[in-house]
Amino acid sequence: MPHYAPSLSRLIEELQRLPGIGPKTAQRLAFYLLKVPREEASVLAYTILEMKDRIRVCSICFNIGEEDKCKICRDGTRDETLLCVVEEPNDLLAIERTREYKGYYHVLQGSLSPLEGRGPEDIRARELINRLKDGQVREVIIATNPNVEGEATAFYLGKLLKPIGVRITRIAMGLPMGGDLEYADEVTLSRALEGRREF
Amino acid sequence: MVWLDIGQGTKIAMPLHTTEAIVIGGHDLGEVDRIVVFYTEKLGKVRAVASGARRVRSKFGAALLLFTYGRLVFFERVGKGLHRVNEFAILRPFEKLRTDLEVLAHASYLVELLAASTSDEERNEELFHLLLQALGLLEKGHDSFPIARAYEIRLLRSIGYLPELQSCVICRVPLEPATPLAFSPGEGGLVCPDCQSGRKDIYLVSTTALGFLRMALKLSLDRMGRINLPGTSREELVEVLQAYIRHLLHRDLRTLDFLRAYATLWKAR
Ligand SMILES: [Zn+2]
Ligand SMILES: [Zn+2]
Repeated sequence: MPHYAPSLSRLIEELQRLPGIGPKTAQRLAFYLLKVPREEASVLAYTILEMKDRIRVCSICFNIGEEDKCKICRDGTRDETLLCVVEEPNDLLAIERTREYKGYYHVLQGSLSPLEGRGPEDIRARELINRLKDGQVREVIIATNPNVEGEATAFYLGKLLKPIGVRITRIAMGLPMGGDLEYADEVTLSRALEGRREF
Repeated sequence: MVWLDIGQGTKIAMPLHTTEAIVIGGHDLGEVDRIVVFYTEKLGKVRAVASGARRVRSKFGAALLLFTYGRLVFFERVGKGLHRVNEFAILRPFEKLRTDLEVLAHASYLVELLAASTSDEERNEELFHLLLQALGLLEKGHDSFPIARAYEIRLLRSIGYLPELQSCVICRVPLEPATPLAFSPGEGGLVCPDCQSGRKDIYLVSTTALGFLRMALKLSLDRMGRINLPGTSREELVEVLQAYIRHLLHRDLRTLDFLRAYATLWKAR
């Protein structure tokens, strides 16, 4: 292990904590930052702090934004009978990119995972129930990830919301566009069959 | 043997392995990859990188989901670095284990216990088949309780930590079935009435509970799965086995935390 000046090795250490950054990349980034003008480095440092200070979690849907209510929750023109449940703000953005969906959202801020010890208290499920109390929402669309954790979460929410009597739907799962039927595995294909619709 | 060119004329050997395997865990790596933990028939626990596994159009499709039983082909990375999954063909997807949250949690416990109590790449075919059979029974809808307990005791035997169930673990006196028995996780077995006095780390075990454990070592898992145990024996078995496992692993398993949290929440409703 080469010995860097203390401040430089502290930076390398901090950078290494970032996801997807290994020791080599951290070193490269640190040396890059060493060479940039002081102003450029301070803009980066300031931008990180500004983001940390400004970003807040929406008090209604738990999306992120810079106000108490996020942009979507402030938009009065959307369909208030539809509520789409996602795991993370990134998933919300992915659905927004489709321009197909005009309802509101609920961000769970996580998923259930027995193996990781993440239980029902670790997601915003209670808050979801509270949002359904006034009876405005007619349909809850569960758009958690098509993996083990997302499925477990969908199952749990289905069970939890059933007594409320709201319509609960799950986004379709199955074949990806542009794929070849013969190469699909049996799990994916049987899901696609299950989710078939009138043509 | 496959030779991987790592540039400048250097080639490294990457032996190719084929074995049956069950997905017992994994975590995301970078943007689109995943490290998958398998329990394999030929090499025990194996970790390998599945490149692009998180892409929507990954060649692995749904094959690498937890509990999937399949035929694994992977490149062994000699020395530093990770093995690479080349192919994983589904033999049995065990899909029903993933659709009900409680079943998922019980099946997760089986794989977590196996992962926690074994080292990487130590062959143990018995454990592989034990897991495969237990998952099959859970998928068929059998009561998870007797299966999980029988699985625990057989796993413990297979890794060389079978607790003493025949004679007193302290004074070695053979134990009569009628004597009031207790179990010491720290000592690793049953303790006779004489040796019980003054000890705090002991759990009482009824003849029924003890009988279950002894039987679980002899009978097949699916016969154990049909045994109907009274509530008190169930509690005893859970306490004893879990205290002993905690003692061996020096920690609690996450799935147990999950099951506890889930049970309390559901009861509170
Ligand atoms: Zn909002
Ligand atoms: Zn004794």
